[in-house]
Amino acid sequence: MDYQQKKSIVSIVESVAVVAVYCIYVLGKLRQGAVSMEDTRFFAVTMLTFIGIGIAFTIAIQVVFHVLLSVSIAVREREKESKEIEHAINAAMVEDERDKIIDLKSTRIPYMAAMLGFVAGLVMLALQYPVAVMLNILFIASGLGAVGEGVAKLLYYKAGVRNG
Amino acid sequence: MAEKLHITNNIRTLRFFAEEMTQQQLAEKAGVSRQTILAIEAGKYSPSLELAFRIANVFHVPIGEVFACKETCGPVPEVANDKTKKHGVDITTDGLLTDDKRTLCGELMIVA
Repeated sequence: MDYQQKKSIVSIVESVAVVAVYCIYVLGKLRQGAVSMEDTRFFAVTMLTFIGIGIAFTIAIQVVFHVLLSVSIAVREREKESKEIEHAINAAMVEDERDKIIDLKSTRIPYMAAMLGFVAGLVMLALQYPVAVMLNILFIASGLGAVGEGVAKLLYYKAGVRNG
Repeated sequence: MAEKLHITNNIRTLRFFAEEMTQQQLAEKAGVSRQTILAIEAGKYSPSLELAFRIANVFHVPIGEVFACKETCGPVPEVANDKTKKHGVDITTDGLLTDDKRTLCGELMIVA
């Protein structure tokens, strides 16, 4: 499994973790009665917080992942000079045309998920559900879209992709 | 919509005859990752024209000697009929291309 595929798996795990922790936190608050579905401000603040946590988590995970991969390559190639080790690390992490095509094709998934989430949210509003329901649908749809993007990337890497 | 062509390649063979070049070495010379070369050899990825030419340049051979259509190259256009007769080679639809036919097919495609 190459660097890009491992990165996709890490991305899937991140997205699932953020959505799962958000759902557990919000459902816990609702069950305790600490907040109601009419409290739109609570949901907005919570979502913004989790978006910030998600971004920070993503950056931290990617940095740790990059460092661990570099260390593993350096240990494997320890007999060689530092320039060759650096070259091997760069070669392992190169993003070429195939990676870019897979990235482009996979990016359609989160866009579709966000659009579906928006439409579903509008339907909920039309059925006179609180605004918080629409916000939650949008947030979860975006998270699931990110998971779908990671899964699509793995499938493309496994099955192959045509140029064009 | 145009029919999907099944494009094959001789990269593994060319690597072998190029002093047993490794996939990693070829990847570095072509400016891509080893996994991309692996995917191309396995038929899981069709490279761009630029990458195809870069790979051909690594082996110092025409691109037609690296990549080919598994099926026929399609019906021979009228202009090309004269050329095939002049060369004395008849591109038939037997589904198999010999090296001569493949090279001529490549030349005809460039002319077309």
